[in-house]
Amino acid sequence: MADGGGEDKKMKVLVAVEETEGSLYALSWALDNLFTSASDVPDKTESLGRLVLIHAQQPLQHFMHPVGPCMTDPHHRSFSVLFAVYATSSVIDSVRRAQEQNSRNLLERATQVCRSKLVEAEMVIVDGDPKEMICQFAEQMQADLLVVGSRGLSKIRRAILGSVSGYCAHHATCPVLIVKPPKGNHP
Amino acid sequence: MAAEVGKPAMVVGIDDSEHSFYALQWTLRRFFSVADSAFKLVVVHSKPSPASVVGLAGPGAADVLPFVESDLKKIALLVIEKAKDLCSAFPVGDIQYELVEGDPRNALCDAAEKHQAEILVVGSHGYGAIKRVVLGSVSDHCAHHAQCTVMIVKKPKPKH
Repeated sequence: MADGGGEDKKMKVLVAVEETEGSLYALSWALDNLFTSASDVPDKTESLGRLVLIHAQQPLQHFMHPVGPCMTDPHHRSFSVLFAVYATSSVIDSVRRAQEQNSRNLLERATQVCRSKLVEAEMVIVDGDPKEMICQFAEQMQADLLVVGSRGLSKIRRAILGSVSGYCAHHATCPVLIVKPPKGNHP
Repeated sequence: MAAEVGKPAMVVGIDDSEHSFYALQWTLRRFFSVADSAFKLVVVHSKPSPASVVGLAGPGAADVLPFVESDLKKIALLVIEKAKDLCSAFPVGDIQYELVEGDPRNALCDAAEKHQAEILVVGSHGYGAIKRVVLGSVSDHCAHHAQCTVMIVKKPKPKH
């Protein structure tokens, strides 16, 4: 049971990275608390196993429609017109590129956080609904632990779980670690 | 900075179910399998009050309560004993066992606060016939209301 203790401790940890403050905090919390075995080793990852950062991109809408007040024609009966604008492929491309750039920046920041704590992380970007993709990926890679932030908005009381963390808590098949934002000025 | 005294606490909530012992064991294996763990361990069991278990409002309720109470006490002691057994197999340095009374949902969150826990660990019953595991009410409550990080450990379903 206790023999090969080092081996038992090796975990595959999947950390969900989103564009929320809570998410990056969750990452650094996980790094601080899960990678504490070897203190001065240049690469702590060896002692723990694998750290994978996953970021899910929302799928793009292929058309966009503006939501605004209805148009009314005083002379005829009032009617509302909803404009559906089918985006041209160039628009889609640039939006997609912007999204990818966003994701890359986010993961860059995350990797920097990891490096500052002497941990090497692998990065994965998936397309699709974040909550489903994260749980699916966790199952695929047989993660030992899934780490998620709790909610992006820190002003709201910690009692509210964000949609991704709530979904993962229910649906992930592996253990889930939900990191709450720091206590701050809470009395 | 990381002196013996200042170790952050990891509170593990257990009840008499398989799931919570699995959670305790998982935690021990992952975090306490080497002698100098980064955490100190606090194992908390909340014994529900007999009134909440019985839930009767009839005339017979008062008679039943003492029996239920002694039963619950016995179960609680067994739970702690079993937890002690599990933990003895691991080189855990700093460990505390706590027996509290009341609704587990609040009791666990309170215990986590009392010990200034860094992590609160709970198992999950996974009630529900829906294809994915559904959270039990205690773990769900803790996930929402605990001030600290919450770790929900589920017993994996057999794949075959």
